[in-house]
Amino acid sequence: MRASKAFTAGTLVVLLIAVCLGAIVFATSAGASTSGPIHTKSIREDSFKNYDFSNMIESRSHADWGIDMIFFGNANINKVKRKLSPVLPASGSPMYARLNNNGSGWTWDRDSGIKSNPCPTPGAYADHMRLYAPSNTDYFWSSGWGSYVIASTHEDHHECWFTRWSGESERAEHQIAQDWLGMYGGNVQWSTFRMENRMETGNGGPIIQGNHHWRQDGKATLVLVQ
Amino acid sequence: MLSRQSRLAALAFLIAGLVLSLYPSAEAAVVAQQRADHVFSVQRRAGSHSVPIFLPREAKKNSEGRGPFFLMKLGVEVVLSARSGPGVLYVSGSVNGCTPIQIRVSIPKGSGVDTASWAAFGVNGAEGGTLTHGALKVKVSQYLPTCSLNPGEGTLTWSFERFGGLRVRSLAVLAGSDVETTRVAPPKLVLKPLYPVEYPEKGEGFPIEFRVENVGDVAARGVAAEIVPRSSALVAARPHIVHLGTVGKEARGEFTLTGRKVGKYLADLRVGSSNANHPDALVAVPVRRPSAGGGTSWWPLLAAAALIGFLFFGWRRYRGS
Repeated sequence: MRASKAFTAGTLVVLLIAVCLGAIVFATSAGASTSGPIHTKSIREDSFKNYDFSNMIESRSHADWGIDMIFFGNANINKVKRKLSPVLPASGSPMYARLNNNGSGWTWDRDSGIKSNPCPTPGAYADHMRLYAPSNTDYFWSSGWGSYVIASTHEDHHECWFTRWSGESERAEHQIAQDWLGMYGGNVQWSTFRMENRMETGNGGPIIQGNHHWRQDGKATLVLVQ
Repeated sequence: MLSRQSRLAALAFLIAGLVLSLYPSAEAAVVAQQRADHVFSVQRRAGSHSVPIFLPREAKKNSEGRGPFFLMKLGVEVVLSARSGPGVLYVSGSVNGCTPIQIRVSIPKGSGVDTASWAAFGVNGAEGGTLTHGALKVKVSQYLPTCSLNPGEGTLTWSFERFGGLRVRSLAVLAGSDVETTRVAPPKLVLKPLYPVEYPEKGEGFPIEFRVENVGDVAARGVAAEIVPRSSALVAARPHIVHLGTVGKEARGEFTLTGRKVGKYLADLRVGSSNANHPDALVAVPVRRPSAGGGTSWWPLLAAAALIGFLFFGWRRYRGS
């Protein structure tokens, strides 16, 4: 009888702790965010939207991060991922980009991206980049840039803990471009191509919406891939 | 002594000769060529073969209009290993570090050589197909992108790179693969919206016509136009996308819009293509009030009748009290 009471109390305590933890996780992971206006970027032979999306719905409330990097010259998704694998060896969860490269309409491309750390613990963070291109070739073709791919970047902070948050895209964009420059040298044009997706306060501070910490200057960094 | 007519004819001949010598030739001239097949060693994951190239001073970044233009032709013969697993192979041709052509050969996850396919972007847009018994022999042409155009000495590179479990038995860049100059201009689309003569009324459907002109020599393929109103006060009737197919010189199309509210509204008109640029235009539509005699002009009359009725019954009640 006493053992049964102790068991019931123990179960209640465990349940209570589980509910509290669930509530904390929900509270920290929730947080609807809204991006700036979604624009179509038409670059010679291709068009794409200036944000990627959490699912296949093109809306500001489903926007994940702004497109902020372009790998051009002799790029394809496999090649860029392989070249960045020394610094971004892990993968993350998938998001979607909206593309139109053949005039027959808009299609979605899905990518989980590459990360520097699969599961950052408290106090740690990971750079995360997702790369997009037409899925039949895994690259766009432009009479200006040759073969190129587009990318969104952000940092994931203590993702495997309750107080997780993501954002600071500008910092991740510059870190990844810096890593590229360190490994391969060559041509990096910092924040040069206008994407019309600036998301930061007037003085360059972050815009915080739940666990979405926007900060990007609205200009993509171009990286030449050879 | 030549007659006056003979002298005039000689002068005309001379002028014609001068004009013809100034007018650029439509014939292609080879800048760099692969004279014999180049067979790659496919044991490694990646390999390349470079040859020097010299681009003339006309190879400028803004080589539009009459050119000259620079065209790469890449012929490739690939035979996949019968035991190959899923993966991807890229065979590319690049000039000065920028790539006009990448041919992608792939075997999807969980499949074998029998499901291998290829894809590339050529002069005519997206190309591709399936491999026959793991073998592919294909030739793709594409203009050099502006990032390749540096006048003077440069490098033409043929290369390959393998990813995943894809295995290759043999791979060769075929003789005749080259870079050549041409006066045949790539497709270039110009979009011109044609506005209605009269401003449309609120609630009335009206057409927005447009003209797509191809100012290049190569036909633009897979051309389609879409209209996206920027305000919910403007509604586009379906279809929102008009497929124009292949455009040699010119094509026309139209969308139907309806203004829900009086005011000036904007809509984005965009054109896409598989091998040409994607021009767009912002269409401004002023929606005006319905003219007198329209359906909604009864409202003031009804209001006036209600007011008269109210006054009349009010007066009777006053008289009756």
